Amino acid sequence: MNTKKSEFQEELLEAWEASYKKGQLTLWLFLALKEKEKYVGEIRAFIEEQSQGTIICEEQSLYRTLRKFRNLEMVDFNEQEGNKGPMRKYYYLTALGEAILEQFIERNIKLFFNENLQELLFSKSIS
Amino acid sequence: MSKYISKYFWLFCLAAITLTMLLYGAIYWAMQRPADRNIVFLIASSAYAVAMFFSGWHFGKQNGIHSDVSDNGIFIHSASYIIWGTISLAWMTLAFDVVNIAPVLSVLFFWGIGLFFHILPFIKGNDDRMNGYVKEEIFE
Repeated sequence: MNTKKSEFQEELLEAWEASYKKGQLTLWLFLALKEKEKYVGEIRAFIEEQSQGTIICEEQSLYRTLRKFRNLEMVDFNEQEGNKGPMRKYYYLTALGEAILEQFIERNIKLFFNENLQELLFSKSIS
Repeated sequence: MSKYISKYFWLFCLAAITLTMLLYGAIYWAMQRPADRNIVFLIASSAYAVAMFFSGWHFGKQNGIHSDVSDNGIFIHSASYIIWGTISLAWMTLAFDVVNIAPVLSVLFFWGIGLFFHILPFIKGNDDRMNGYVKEEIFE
């Protein structure tokens, strides 16, 4: 009975996480570029490392997203020589990208840092 | 290459031109052979429809991967309209020497209305889009 319950719980959790992660790529991508300009391989490694493996992204989908964001003027790139030969595109946030990230954090992330929510987030449930 | 069009779009145009020429070639050939005319018409037009569908599907998908257009169907649709219309009118008037081109014009008219409503949101750049991208899909 307990195994059944924990399986059900795990399934629910996974379903919630799948929905929750769907919109997160942009935030992780912007954070990667906020740290410093990066090429796609570095962006991917940053996201996987910093999200502790919870966000996995294919390079192809990163390229597609970066191209879209470039057309929307939120990111741009410089071509530089990589360590081993071919030119690489090093992406960075434009002023518009930085402003959007800053506003997004202000409106959607910082609210989790108020004392009341911090307490709720990190305290054990009563029941 | 442009933001909306990659080499795959041009490959689709090439395929569409070739297929449409082959279709009219087959029709022209069939017109000289009244006995086989109906079956050739049927096979040629069915094969044309299937081949056009798969060309549009394949090259449209590739164009979507290699360009940044979110609704790349409008380019494939517009190209099909222009190519079919131009080649049909050219064959009708030059090769078949048909006096009455009303059926072709009628198809172009009704198809044109459908095409117009397909591309209207893109032309208008309506409130749901930014730089051609559907707002809701930008951060997906």
